[in-house]
Amino acid sequence: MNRSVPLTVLTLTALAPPVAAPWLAIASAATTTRSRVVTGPAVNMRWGPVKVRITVKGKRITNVTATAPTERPRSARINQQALPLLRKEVLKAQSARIFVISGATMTSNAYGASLQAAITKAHV
Amino acid sequence: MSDGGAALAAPAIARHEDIMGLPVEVECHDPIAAGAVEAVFAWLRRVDVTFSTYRADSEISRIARGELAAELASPEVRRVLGRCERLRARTGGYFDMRAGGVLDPSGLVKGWAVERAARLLEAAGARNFCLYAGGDVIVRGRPGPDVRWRIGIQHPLLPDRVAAVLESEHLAVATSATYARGAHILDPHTGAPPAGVLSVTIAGPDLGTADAYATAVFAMGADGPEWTRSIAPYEAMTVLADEHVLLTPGFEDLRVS
Repeated sequence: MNRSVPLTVLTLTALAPPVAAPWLAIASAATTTRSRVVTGPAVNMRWGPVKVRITVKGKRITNVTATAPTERPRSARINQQALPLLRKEVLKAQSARIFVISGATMTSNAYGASLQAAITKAHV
Repeated sequence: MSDGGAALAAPAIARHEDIMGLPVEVECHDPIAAGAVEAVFAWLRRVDVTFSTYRADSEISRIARGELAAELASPEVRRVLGRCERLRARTGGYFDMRAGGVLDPSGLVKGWAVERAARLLEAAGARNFCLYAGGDVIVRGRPGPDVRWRIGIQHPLLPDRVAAVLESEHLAVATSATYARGAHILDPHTGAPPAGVLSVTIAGPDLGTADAYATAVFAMGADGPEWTRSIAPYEAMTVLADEHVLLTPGFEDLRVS
């Protein structure tokens, strides 16, 4: 007979880490080892519309760049200041990536929807 | 790495296939023979043919209809049914392959089959891999020299969030919950869906046992966490309907966030 151990009691709110979940085995969607470049949609930021472009090799983001309208004088400063920070954050974040998610049995349809959401999210 | 990213190479092998209507994934970071991965999927397809309750001609369906005596079934079927009986005793009747009134050992079969699949990969030389089958997970080794496998546990209320993240180099993880297919687990003692519980995750050495325990603890409802206090070397996280989360000490040790 096993010894009874004490339980830790938490609340779901206290527990849930702020992690966007479905990185769910993007592995299967990215079996290629060729580099590809994915560009996100234009996002309005304080300094105007910016498009982020990521270079993906296999499952890895190998580079992050951003484009802003070149005629804007602020553009240069964005690339000098904001971008290195963004790049560092993205590259750091993926080292803490979740590889797989345990959940109750999912049907293929639910899985497909989830994977699609993940890929959409990864492209932004 | 010069760019500050993790040393994460693309896996040597990554393959996806739907079996029994469930997504199955193999991600292996060792250059094993392609045939070894094919053997994994062939094995799982064979399990489906033999054990599926959706196939009228499966051994399980024939036993359920009384056309095949359990004693005359194939050795694998006899072994699985025997183990289901032992798990029923071990869980105080809460893991019951006849809970729904029809013979259905699925609560053990998936985990058992995927555990066997992991052994096939290991026999082929795989040391660093992740196996995923419809919510069940097995990890071995590492996905990269400086990276450990991180296993998210689906948040029971928020589809795009995880409730916890585990790290391990050798672990099986199974979760039972209501979110994906509605109330498909019944309390064998009442015949009704259990009350008071949102999800149960069991982590430990063997996926078959983890899978069966997750089903059993879920069926126990709000009484489940008390039972999880004495299931070492298995560890548990139970999320109750009042959003309290109860974790065994070993689960806390595996949890990185």
